[in-house]
Amino acid sequence: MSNAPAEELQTQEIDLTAANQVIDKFLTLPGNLMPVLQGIQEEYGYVPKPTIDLVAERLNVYPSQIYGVLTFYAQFHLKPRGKFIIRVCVGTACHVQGAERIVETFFDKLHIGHAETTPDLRFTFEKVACLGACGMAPLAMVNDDTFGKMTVQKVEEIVADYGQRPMK
Amino acid sequence: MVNLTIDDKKVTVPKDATIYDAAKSAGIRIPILCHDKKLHPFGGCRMCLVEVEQMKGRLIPACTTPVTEGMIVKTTTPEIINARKLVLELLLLKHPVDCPVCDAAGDCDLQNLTYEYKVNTNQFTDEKFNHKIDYENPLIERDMNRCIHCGKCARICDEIVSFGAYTFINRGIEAKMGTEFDGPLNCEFCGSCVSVCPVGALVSRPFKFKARWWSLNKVKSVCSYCGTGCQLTLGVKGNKVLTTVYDENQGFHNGQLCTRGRFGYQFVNSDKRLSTPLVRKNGRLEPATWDEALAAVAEGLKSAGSDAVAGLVSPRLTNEELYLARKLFKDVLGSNNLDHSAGYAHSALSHGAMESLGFAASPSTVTDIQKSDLLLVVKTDAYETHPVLGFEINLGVKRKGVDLRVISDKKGKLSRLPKAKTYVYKPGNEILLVNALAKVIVDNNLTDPSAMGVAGLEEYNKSLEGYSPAQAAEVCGIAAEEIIGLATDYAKADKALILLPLGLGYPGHDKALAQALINLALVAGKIGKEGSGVLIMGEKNNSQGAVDMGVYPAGNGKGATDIIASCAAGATKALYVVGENPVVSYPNRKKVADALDKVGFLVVQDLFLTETAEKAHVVLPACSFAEKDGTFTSVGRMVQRVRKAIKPIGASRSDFDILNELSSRLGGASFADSSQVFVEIAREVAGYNGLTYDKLGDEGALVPVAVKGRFVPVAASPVKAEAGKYALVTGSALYHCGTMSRFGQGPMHVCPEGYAEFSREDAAVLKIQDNDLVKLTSAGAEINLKAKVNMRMPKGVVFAPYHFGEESINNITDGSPVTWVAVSK
Amino acid sequence: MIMPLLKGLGITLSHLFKKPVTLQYPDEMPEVAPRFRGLHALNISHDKAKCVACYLCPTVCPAKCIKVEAGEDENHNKYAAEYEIDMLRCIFCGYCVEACPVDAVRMTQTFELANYKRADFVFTKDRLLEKK
Repeated sequence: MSNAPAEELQTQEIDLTAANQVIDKFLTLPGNLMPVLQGIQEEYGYVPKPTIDLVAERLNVYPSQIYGVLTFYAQFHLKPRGKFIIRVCVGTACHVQGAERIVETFFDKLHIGHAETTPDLRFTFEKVACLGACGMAPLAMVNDDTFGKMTVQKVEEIVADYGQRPMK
Repeated sequence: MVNLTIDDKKVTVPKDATIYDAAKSAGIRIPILCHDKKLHPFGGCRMCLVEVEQMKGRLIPACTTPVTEGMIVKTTTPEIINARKLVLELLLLKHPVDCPVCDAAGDCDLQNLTYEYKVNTNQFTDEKFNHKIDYENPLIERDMNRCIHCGKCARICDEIVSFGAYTFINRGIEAKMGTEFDGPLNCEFCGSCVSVCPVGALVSRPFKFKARWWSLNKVKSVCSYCGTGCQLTLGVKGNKVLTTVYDENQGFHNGQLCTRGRFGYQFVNSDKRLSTPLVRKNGRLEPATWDEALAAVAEGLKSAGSDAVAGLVSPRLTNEELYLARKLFKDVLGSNNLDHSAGYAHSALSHGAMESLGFAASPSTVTDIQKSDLLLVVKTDAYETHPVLGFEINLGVKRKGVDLRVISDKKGKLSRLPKAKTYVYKPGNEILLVNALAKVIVDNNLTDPSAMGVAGLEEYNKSLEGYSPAQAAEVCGIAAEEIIGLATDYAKADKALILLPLGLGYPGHDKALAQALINLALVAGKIGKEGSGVLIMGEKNNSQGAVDMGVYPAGNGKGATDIIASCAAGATKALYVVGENPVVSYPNRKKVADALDKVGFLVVQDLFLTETAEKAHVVLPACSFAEKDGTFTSVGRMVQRVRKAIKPIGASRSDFDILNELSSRLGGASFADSSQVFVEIAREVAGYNGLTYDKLGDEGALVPVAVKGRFVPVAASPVKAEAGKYALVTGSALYHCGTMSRFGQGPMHVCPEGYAEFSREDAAVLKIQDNDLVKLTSAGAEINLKAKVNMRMPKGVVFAPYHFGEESINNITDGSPVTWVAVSK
Repeated sequence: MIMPLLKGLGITLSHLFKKPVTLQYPDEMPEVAPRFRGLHALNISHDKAKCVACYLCPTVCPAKCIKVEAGEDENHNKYAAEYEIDMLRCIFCGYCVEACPVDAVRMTQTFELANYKRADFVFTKDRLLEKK
């Protein structure tokens, strides 16, 4: 869903075996584009450009249309994502509780903005509208771990904690 | 039929009509932005909202709602007007309103509707978009800030062109029309998207800022590239053809054009146009007066004597001019040595169809394509030679469920259409394959009862011995079951149409192939029915007309190949070349060039100083199609009017003028204008009887034919591959037609030079990549071309287009369907 | 008989003490009204002609005396590569000024348009720009 121009996307060599296997699995299914793209995202963590060309060729769909689908749905990512996805709620309750400061602190600590990934592929940061736990506002999540009643202090702890965890 | 009431008018329409269609048929205009009659209804813009009595409570989009019996529709209530105003206000909220510098102004649907609905204030305010404008390509400029998200560009590119360059990308307020990865546009540049864009989001760059739409003089004419016979409207200002104007009501193709027709018009006003006659003095071509030049030509042609004079006349000329040329040679010079298109590019019609069907034309028409059940396209997918017929095939396959089968030596764009099947055979074996198809039909008792009465059936059946599917499979490299399947499907299809594109680039598409295909159609009973038959597609705009006018050798006359040979032998002393460029377009360039060097008196009449004209003793500057009146006959036998849009450039004169004056100087007949010649054509030429310019009108008229088929057995032997060499097949590039498109900026921007296409497997073996220079060698000559590597080529086959003068592929060809070449890096 | 003559002389005499109606042109120049429609001028903004070559002035011109040729500058913007007004044909109606969407053309108070050659009456873009 990020709106990156083509040249910014990484042009690294991608092993297409996994993508081919995903396509093989859904090849005969009608309306197979979505499951194929979801499968590819599951394998690679994002949808790399070479796989789009591969899908276009094998499913006989225009590459432009695949790109349209990928940019329409928030669930798809065109750039590699971090190991740890930090999501901070900026919904009404969290906003009132000062979510904006939490967000800015994350920006400061990680040196990235909204929907961006650190160069070491450790963190991806996202602002989200509501995580459904307004009682704990302001709220942050790292992958599946939830952190309620966030403070600037806690932001530093989270970054330090997850910054030490192994990448594999 | 369904009856309904629109604005108190009773309307009766077919039941698949929408409210919009019904209103249109009753003469009631409903405003639209996203609707186009060629495309599927979209219902995105909400301009066409109407009120339906039976669906009270909300407004209904007219363009997507089908009619129902007894519907009562109101199209202009105050509520509707307000809703439309709101739509316009919302569109204008983000639209930059830069009409003074926007080329669409005057022809802009948004502008017109804003004016009509008097939207001069806006209750909303917002920032404008700030999208980057795509200036990357030389033909289409994309300014997405002006876009109103009607989606027409994406839909036409998908539904009709089948390229799919555009899509909606992103979501919500960020949504915009974009390409893959939002990069620059990189497509086949047919400009269909530009033509349907209701605003100035997509504009033609060659026409950018050249003139305002309202100041253009719009002249209806016919495209002068391929034989499809697309009607087009030229936008003229100040004796210059500045653009082609889209008119969705023109022709069978609804104004749809390809890249040549839409962007290739610049040759008309090219700086390189010849403006005065040239006469060779002391070995150099010097400017001369018309009187001097014509006197020299008349003297030269006359003194050569009737046996030693010959003519090569381009089928780009009008029917009237071709008729005059024929008359000049036959009646005045007393010579039958007249031909066009190297001889082989018309023999499918002039000899093949003539012998097999009794007339030198296709029994089918262009409109049969969409009415057919099965299309059998032979040798190329017809898209690269006749792109707009390719669009027709696209529409047939996608909308009407036409079963598309391509038998070719390579895949093409149409091979990618849904359910299309391509049978790739080894180059040069097409006749053998066609005979094998017929053999399957005969052996499986699929012969149509109608074939029983056709002359020569028995002999034909006998001649098919030795073309069993198994034998053909081995030679062609297609499995026998596939051949049997194809033949069975073809025979069993209720309506099946064969398409055979011709051209100078396709030496194998000759009399024999046409006859083999006509035999196949006859044996399956496919000729003489609507949506069935054979469509033999001549290469140039008036290829069919040239055959109709008899511009090919009759009696003891020499054909193009013999003319070239007799030039080389010195037997032909004077050669009159009108519009042809044999040096580049005929096979075996060295032979042709040497032959022309030996001719005692060579006259070339052309728009440009072509490679052939450089060898001439006298060069006569002729006029383009935009400077003359006349008629062209399309592949579908449609005679259409060409209208004069501008005055002749410089001192050039139309081919009509030149031929007419030469004729009178040599003591022959002379005509006042082209309409007089047409009167004589209507009298003399079969099928044209009773036609007048008035009767042709804007639509044109169909030349009738009466089929009198007979079987003419055609023998074929397998093409022997040469070890270690690649099979070179030539043909047409999508962006070019003949050698004239080289003088149109549009085609040259996209495809400026020759290239050679290789399969991925061969490229891997040869270690070549895109744009690497490769050397092709054959029979002692070599050329260097840029390589293109793609999926469509089969292993061992190389494709190269023939249009280009430099590193011309005809340096290494000799007129056989396949040339075996050695390839090195 | 004498009275009318004296009356006439009286009128003549009275004019000796009035301000003359005529002007001693060219020693004296007339005062031109602010909305006078004289020679055209092209307005300038940021050192460039404001004209965007929209062709509305030649379209609206009843005398067809305006010739515009648009060009594309290095930023892909539209500008008037050529802008000519033929003063011999112009009827000074001012429609061009009215039609201009970007206020690029105005009419000055210059009315002395005499020239020696017909060609000099064709005002090119440069000459129109000079009129500040």
